[in-house]
Amino acid sequence: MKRRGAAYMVAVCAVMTALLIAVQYALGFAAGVELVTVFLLTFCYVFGAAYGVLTATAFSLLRCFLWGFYPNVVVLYLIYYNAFALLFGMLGKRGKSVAVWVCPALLALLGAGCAVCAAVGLPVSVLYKARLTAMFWALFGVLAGLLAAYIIVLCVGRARAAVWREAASLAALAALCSVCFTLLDDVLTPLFYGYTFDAAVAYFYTGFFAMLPQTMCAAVSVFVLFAPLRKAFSAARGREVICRRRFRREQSARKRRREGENAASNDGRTQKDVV
Amino acid sequence: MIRRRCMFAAIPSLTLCTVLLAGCIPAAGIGGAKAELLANDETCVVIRVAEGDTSKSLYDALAVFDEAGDIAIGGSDSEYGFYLTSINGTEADNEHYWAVYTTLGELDGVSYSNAEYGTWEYEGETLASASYGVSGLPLAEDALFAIVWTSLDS
Repeated sequence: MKRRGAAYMVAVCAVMTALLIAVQYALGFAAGVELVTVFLLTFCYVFGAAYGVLTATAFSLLRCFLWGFYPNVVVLYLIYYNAFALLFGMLGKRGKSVAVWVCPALLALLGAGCAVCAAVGLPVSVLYKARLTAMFWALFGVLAGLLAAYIIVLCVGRARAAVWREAASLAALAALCSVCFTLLDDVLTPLFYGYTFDAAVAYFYTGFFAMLPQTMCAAVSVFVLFAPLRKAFSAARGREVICRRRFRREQSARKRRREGENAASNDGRTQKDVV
Repeated sequence: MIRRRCMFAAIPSLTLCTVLLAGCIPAAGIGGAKAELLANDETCVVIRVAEGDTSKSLYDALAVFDEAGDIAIGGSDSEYGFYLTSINGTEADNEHYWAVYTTLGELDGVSYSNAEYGTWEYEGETLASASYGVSGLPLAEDALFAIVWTSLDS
C-alpha cells in the first residue's frame, strides 16, 4: 500500500509540476500575468500540504532548466512556494471555511496600504512616480472591488455563495502572499549580491512595478478560477480516494484469507472444525 | 615678422578648428533636454546633459543617439525598465556588465547614485555608481552619465 501510495503521489506531483511550468512558460511573455498562484493554491487546498510541498520543491528546481539557475531566485522560490504550499495545504485540510473576518481584514489592510502609498508618494525616481502612483490606485480599486464582492456574497448568505466566499477569502490571502513574495525578494536579492543600502532601497521601490500587477492578477485569478479548479482537482482526488478504498478492500480481503489459511495450519483443524 | 604672421594665421585657424570640433560632438534634443555624446567606443559611452528635462530618462537619450546612428545599443524591456546588454557591439557576459555611473546625486530627496558602490573618473570629474538603471535616471541639467564596460571582479 505504501509503495503504491508513494508512486501515486509522485505521479500526481509530477503532472502538477509540469502543469505549473507550462502555465508559467505560456504566460511568460505577459509581464505581471501569472496563474501559478491559483493553480498551486487550489492543488494544495485539495490534495494537502504534503503533495503541495513536493510539487512546490520540484517546480522551484525544475523551472530553472527553462529560466536559468540563479541562486537567489532558487532560494526565493524554495522558501516562498513551500511556505505557500504549507499554508494552503493546512487550510484545505481543516475542512472548514476561512473565518469570515479574514478576507475583509486583509483586503482593508492591503487597500489602505495602497491608498497611503499612492497619496503620500514614494521616494522613488521622478521617472517612476506617476506610473507607480497609477499602479497603486489600480490595485486599490481591485482590492476595494473584491471587498465589495465579498460583502455582497456575505449578504446573500446562501449555501452556493459559500464557495465564492471561500474564493474571496483565499483571493485575499493570495494577494497578501504575492506581496510577501516581493518583500522576500527585496531582502534576499540585495543580500545575495551585496547591494549598498541606497541600491537596496531603490530595488525595493522598483520592486513595486513587479508586485502590483502580480498582486492584482493573484487576487482576481484566485477569486474567478478557484471554484472551477477546485472542482477539477477534487474530481481527480476523488478518483484517487476510490482507487485507494478499492485497494484497501482487496488487501484486507487477501489478509483475511491468509489469516484463515494460517489458522487452519496451526493445529491441523479447519475453520469448519472450529465452528 | 614671419613668425608673427604665422601666429596671426594660427589663431583664427585654431578658433575655426575648435568650432568645427565642437560641431562634431553629437548632440541631440530629447523632449526639452539636450544631451551631448562626449565619448563613444566599445568600452564606454559618456553623455553630458546640456539642458535638463527630468521627465526624460538616460534611456531616452541613448535611444535618440541610437536612432541617429551615433551609437548602437541592445537589450530588452522589463517591468523594471530597459535592461542594457550591449553597446556598440560589446555584449555583457558572465564576467562583464555595463555599469552606469553619474554625477547626479540627490534630486528632490531621492538619491540617484552612491560612491560607496564604485566610482569612475572622466576628465577630472568623479562619477558615482548609479542606484537606478538607464530608465530610472532623469536628464537633470549638467549631469554627466557614463556607461562603462566593467568586469564583475572589479
